[in-house]
Amino acid sequence: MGFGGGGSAGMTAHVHNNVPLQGGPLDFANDTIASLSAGSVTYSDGAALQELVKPAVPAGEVLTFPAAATAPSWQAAGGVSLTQHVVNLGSSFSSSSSSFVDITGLTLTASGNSGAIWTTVNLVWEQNGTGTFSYQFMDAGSAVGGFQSVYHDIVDEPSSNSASYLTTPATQIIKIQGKADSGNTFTIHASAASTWSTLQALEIG
Amino acid sequence: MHIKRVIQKRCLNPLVCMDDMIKVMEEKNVGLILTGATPNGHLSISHEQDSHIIWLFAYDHDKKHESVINDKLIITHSDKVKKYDGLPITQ
Repeated sequence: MGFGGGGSAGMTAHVHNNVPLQGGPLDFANDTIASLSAGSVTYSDGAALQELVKPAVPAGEVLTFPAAATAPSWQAAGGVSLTQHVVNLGSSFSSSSSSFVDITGLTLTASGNSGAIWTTVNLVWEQNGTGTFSYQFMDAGSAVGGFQSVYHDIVDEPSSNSASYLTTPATQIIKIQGKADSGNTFTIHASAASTWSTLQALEIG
Repeated sequence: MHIKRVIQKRCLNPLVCMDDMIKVMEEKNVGLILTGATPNGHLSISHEQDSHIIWLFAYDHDKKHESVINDKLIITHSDKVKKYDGLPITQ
């Protein structure tokens, strides 16, 4: 109903409910108007309605009510962000080294800003004699988990081996190193249709 | 000591390529032993087609393994390796 009234006494005090001669319910469905910005929401501070305007440049914010807060607010959405890194070995790598050397081409650079990094490597490898071949993860210049020493008893026939590790410190450069333990030469085959030498990491923000 | 070379080479089988290259290096550098129980050097190859990268090492000391990471010489202890006593290595 209108507020204009008609008598000289002006509008009488009233409430908006269904009682006859009161203001009647406010029609919030695209009828009642107020001095609010587009996209804003309202809440009460206990005394009067307050306006919470929308984010200036919306970016997935969510309406939240932090502990000890007295009013709702827009905050960056919670949850986990994931960043994937995939490095497929582009060229085969061979070495006769009996101590660890970098496997050229199996290196990735992580942001270092994530809370944790899950890294996994798969190597398609072979060597020219029986014995063990070892490989390990290098994390920011230091050897870390995922060390594998695998025995090879079939000469000149590829094997596939995988290892994974989870690290929590900030990490920048992740590498794979290998060595021939038994006086052989080893070869890591490049990724192709039938082989899959790859280093992958998932940064968990 | 070590040398790094990039050579224009194609290979279908990197194992064969590696074995061939080891033979060549050991023949050209008398006394250089790149495989076996007590090597005095090692060879690494990245078999990129038409652009093989080759690292050849000859160790300067007993029990000190040498490698290179980002062009920096890395020396680690190894009971396996021996000193190379031959002439300076060549390609």
